[in-house]
Amino acid sequence: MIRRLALIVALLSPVSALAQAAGTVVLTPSAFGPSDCTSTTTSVNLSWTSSGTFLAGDTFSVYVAMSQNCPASATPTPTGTLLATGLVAASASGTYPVTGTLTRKDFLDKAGVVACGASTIHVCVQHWTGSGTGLSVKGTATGSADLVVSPASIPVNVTVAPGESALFVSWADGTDSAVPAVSYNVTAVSSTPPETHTANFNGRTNQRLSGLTNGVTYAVTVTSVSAGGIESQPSVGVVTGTPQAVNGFWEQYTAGEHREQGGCSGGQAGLISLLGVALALRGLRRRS
Amino acid sequence: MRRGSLAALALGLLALAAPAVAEERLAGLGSFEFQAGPYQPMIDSEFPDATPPVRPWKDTFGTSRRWMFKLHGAKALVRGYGTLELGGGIGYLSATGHGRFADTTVSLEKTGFRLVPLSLDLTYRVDPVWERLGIPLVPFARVTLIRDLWWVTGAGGKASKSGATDGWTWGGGLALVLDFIDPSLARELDRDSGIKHTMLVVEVAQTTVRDFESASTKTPKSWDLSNDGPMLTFGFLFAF
Repeated sequence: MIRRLALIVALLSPVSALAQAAGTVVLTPSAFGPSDCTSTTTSVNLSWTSSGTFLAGDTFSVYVAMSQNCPASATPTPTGTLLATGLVAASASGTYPVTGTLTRKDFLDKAGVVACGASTIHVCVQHWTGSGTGLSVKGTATGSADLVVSPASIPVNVTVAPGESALFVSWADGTDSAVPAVSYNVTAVSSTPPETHTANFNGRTNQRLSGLTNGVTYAVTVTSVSAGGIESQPSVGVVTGTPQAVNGFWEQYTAGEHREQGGCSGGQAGLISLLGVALALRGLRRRS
Repeated sequence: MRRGSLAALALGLLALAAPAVAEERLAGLGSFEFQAGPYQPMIDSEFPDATPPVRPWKDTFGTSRRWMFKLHGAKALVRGYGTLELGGGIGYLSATGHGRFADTTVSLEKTGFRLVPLSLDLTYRVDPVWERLGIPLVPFARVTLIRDLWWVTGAGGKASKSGATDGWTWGGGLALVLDFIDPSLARELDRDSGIKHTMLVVEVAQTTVRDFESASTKTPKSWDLSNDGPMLTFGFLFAF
């Protein structure tokens, strides 16, 4: 068994080496929207793990551009704007800015975004080693994020089914936009009593909207949200649903005359169980 | 009640019988087993004459059996003509179905039943069939006390109900000793890990899990979590 494990590890080793060949930069946020073109919030963060092996004294340089060109050599220099250089490395991983004043607007401007148009922003990190004229690039890391300025498609084919104080809502992505939706807003509105319930869901196009009132009729609409945070127009048409009480297994079992009441059994049954255990333990003691 | 008393008595007699064979040398440490078997409780049998028919289990969870998984460990007590083991186990079964509206139509809301059976058992294995005759089969018999801990989750996040039901099982089975396939590998496994034998196990057991209430009990208070028929279990056993 040990020999087999060693063989598996040996076979996987080249795969691990290949996986380390390309470093990755993670951008936060992972996508930008139109509001970011004018945002003065300082909430852009870059974090990376270089493909190079760390040695004390290593440094990082960070570039941002509208296209990716991140050479693993000192020349030519990467495409784009140099955001920072000489960042002292404590390991093969790093972040920028740990603290700083990099606003989202600054970041997009330095990347070269024009008129807040749809684009992809690329980041290149070079991992430097050595000193003086002996400086060399030992590794790189790359990453990107989209600037999304269009809404995703308007949801279609909305259907509603009742649940216990809830509605099960399903829909399909429309075809009026090629921009993918990253989340959906489901809204249920009732007139009597006047209530509005909205929930944001990621991923699946069928969800359970909870917190509603049994017996109240709700009109349901769905909107999609693109990566840039842009919400689509609501789904077309009025689809209504009315939550109803639902009997689970226990309610169905107890609907008529029944035996079980829940809780732990006791009395003679419990005593008999204990007697069995006691006899078994007595046998053990006698043997030893 | 009568069956329950018999179960406790049988378990006790098996335990007390241990000293009779204890003069033989002690065996290894014991065994550890992974078990799995199809299960369906007899909850619906509580309503045999209801009109219209009342079948809460089958209406909610369907007619197919659910797989129950168990971990079982045992300590060898004595070894004479065979091995007597005292064991314990814990299992898990999960069933999920859909709740129903007042008009009995099926809803999309989910409702569930979770079962964690705890067990204490005595097992007698006829090892000499393999050790002396060389036939890689080991018959065994087992008597088990069971406490089924259960939880019912309501539709749409309604409060759940929980409880425990006691019972017992008796049965037996056959274990196929896998050592004969590659004896040298078996010896290597013994040297590396201390596992002396590996076995494929098939067990058939009659389960009675209704708080030791019999059919003659005047006012039964427990539902019937006995398996609907003899319970067939498959296992993979490591003997240490």
